[in-house]
Amino acid sequence: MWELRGDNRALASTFAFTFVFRPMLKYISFGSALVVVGVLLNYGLLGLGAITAKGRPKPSPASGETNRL
Amino acid sequence: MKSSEGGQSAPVSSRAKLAYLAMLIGGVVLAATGIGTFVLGKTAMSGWVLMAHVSAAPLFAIGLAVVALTWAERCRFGISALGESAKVKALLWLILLSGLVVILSAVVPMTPLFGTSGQHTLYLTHRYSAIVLTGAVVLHSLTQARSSVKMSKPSPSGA
Repeated sequence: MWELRGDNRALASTFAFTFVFRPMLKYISFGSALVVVGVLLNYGLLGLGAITAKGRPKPSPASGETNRL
Repeated sequence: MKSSEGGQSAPVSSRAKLAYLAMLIGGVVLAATGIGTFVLGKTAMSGWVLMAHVSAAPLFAIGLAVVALTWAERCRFGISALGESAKVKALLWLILLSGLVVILSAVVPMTPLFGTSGQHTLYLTHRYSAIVLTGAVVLHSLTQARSSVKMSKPSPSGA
């Protein structure tokens, strides 16, 4: 086929060889994306918690309320 | 946060440095092949350039994931003990966010989830988010290099 297309043989065979690694590329990419999503969600929710905590009324010690968390 | 504005931040661990270096090496190859083709090329990326681009992608993806794990804590807003300047923190979160978009917009077209127009949209998303990512990485690494030079220089008072 590469002869018919007028392609470089080395390029065509190397390109064909890369398809062996294609599933690995997908696993690595999705795995890395999952890790980054996890970190972004974790710290994003921590940041959201810190922001909403500023607007939350603090329990007064006299009322006897304790922080159940 | 204010205590870290003067460039006095805790030293970066060797694992974090290694991850950042891996991300940087992968990113340089990706930017050279990707943005280089976009700016200079008349046709779509193909052949050796495409293979170099895709070969550098796993290094960048793994580097970005480890950077996310090792740099996130020191780049939390509101934490000044370990922290960096607010600019560096914002840039790191921008790197992680745009890096995620870049990775997903590159890999999702390999699945049968999107049709032709969806793949075209993902291709454009990949291109423009990669440009944002490159800008953020360049600014972040320049700021880091500048602050490390500042830290290594002895103060004029001799203290």
